[in-house]
Amino acid sequence: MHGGTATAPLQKPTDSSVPAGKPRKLGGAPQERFTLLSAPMTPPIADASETIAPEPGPAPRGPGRYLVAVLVVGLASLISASLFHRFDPRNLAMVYLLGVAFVATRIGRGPSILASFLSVVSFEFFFMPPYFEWSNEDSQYVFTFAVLLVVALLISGLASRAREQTEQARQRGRRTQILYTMTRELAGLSRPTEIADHAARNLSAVFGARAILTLPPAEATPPPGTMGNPAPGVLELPLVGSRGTMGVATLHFESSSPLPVESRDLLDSLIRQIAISLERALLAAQAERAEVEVERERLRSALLSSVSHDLRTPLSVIHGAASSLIGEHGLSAAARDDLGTTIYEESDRLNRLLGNLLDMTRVQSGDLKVAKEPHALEEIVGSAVRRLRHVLKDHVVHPALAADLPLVPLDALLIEQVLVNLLENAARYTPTGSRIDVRAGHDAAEATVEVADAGSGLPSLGAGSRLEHFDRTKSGGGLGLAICQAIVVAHGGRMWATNRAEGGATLRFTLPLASAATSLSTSSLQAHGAR
Amino acid sequence: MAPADLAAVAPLVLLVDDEPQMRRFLRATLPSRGFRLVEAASGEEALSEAAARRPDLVLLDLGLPDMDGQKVIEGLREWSRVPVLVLSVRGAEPDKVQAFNAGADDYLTKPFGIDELLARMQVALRHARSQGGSSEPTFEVGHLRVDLAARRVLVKDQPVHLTRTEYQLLAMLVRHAGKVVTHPQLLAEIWGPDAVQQTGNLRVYMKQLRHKLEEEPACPRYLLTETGVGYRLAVE
Repeated sequence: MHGGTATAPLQKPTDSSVPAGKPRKLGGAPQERFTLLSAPMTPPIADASETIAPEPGPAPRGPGRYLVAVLVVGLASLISASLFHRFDPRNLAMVYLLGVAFVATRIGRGPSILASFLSVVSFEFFFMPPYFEWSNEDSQYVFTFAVLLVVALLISGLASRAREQTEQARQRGRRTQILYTMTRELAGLSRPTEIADHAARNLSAVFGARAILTLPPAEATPPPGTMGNPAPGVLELPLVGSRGTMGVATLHFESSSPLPVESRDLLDSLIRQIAISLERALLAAQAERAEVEVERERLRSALLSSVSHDLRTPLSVIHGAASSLIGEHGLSAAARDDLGTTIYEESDRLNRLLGNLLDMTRVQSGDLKVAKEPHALEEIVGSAVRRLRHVLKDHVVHPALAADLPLVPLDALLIEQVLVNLLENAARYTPTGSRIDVRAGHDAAEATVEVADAGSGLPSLGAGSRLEHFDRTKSGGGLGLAICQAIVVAHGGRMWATNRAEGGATLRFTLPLASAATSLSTSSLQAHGAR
Repeated sequence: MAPADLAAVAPLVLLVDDEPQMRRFLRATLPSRGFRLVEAASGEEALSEAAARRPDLVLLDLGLPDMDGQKVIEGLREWSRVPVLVLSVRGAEPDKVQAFNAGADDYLTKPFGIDELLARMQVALRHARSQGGSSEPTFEVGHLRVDLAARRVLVKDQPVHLTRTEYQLLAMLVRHAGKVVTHPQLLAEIWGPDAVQQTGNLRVYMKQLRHKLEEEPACPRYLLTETGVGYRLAVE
């Protein structure tokens, strides 16, 4: 999973800040890893209407509610009118009471007071003699009004408390839901930057505020003065883990009124969850870095020892041969020729070794880029054989490439290097005059190339078994084969070796026919076996 | 390869390389093979020596201390058509292509043998000489014989039928026999300047051509691949 940037996002401090958007690296150098994350107010988990505003009103408001109260009283009057001749007028008061109770329960205190008043007035006006006119002396209706009013206030009080409780329960449920959703989502993320990014988006969505998560270097805790007393409408919350502060979450609210207690509780819970997730990811990244570092160190020392061995062998031959040529006039022409040839061949070998070492360095630094283009394999084989004509002059190379081979997407320079290494390896480990077969074929998905020699085979390999990992720590062919494998893997192919039943070794590699550019990561190279 | 021509006036070679060892090696070899030698260790020096001495051939290392070798080629090409043979290291294919675009005539990968260098120098000199007049109408190497005037191709004296495109491809290589012809040069010549990206096409035709001309297409004798750069028709 190591893509370089993501593994170590927390190494260098810097204190500028980045506006809303995606995670950004500041500075540009790969080591510049201070990351700022913030998010626009687009909601990833909850829809925008669900944001917790600083003061969430428990009941609806507006003049419409009073209109409802008027309508309810009107309805009560109509019902009373239809019952007027069958019941005692005093019983009709119960109908109004029902209306007032309804308004108090459903709509609220103010409308219910209005409903009480209107009820008394309507009752007096329509159903008490003298009908349809005001009787000023009848003060007993003041009592009726008082009773209705008390009933209205009692019921609306009870109703609003019930509504508040329901609302609280709903909020608690929603809070649990948000917390659960975020925790679950954060658990699925492995990079600190991803977690911070996701968390910032969640906070933005839940609180309707612009949230910015700042991950400073793990070593440097932010100055204490900056915490806790921010500007109005801005909240700064430290992300505290078991080993100190890992970052700061900053929320910019639209309004400057303080968060209600429930929202603040939710915010604190979310921040705690984010901190836990972050700490987990940071620790994992740290462990992975350490592991990569160990592996890199191991490779470096292996490479060094192989360099000193591989390079010194041809170098000492050249050195020796050249020193015998200098000033030595007693040598026969044949001997001089021999020494000259030795120098020529060994320097050639040295040159190829250097090429391999350079490739290996590129593999290890993750710098091996595969530039695929459609190529005729035949051309690559021809070029490799030509490059090695001096090495192969004592062997018989038999190319047998299927006539219907399509063009294969590959990096010509790299695959030529693979073939050069395989051919050189075959020539080096087999007797002079023996035959080397180069074959190629394909199926729907991939092309297969093999180099088969007629030597004694791979000593470490039993009949029928395959060698699938080539150890780069071994000298000579080992290093070359490890590079071959790295290159093939970087192409999306595989490479393995088998011993032939009739003697000799076969090295095969595949190249996918569907074109896809890949680059090599160090982890795709595992060294186990050895030649 | 006409030693008599060379002997008449030994060609003057300007060697541009900042490595004293490389200059020493060539200084020890080239004069005894019939060349006069001028040396330059930097790009500035190369340009002024080229202007002062009017060499017949320039051997140019691309990695110079004071300026990019590409700039030297461009500087030379402003006033001179002297053949430029680039000496470069393997793995720097984009540099080679860039050098060709700047006007280089050929390249040789370091380390190289002296025979290879001499062969390339001869090819470059011959092409430079034939630039004004007409080149040879027939070309022959090994069993391959191409008659440009009659548009005939023979392998082991048997006529080979080539399609129009295949023939154009071969003719282009013949006209530059011994020199690298880059992919864009071939594509532009045969399919037009809009086709310079279509290397896949080129490879398909090259493959067909090899199957018609080569005994063993996977180990070509005539149509050599310069990986990442282009093709070269062998002259020996």
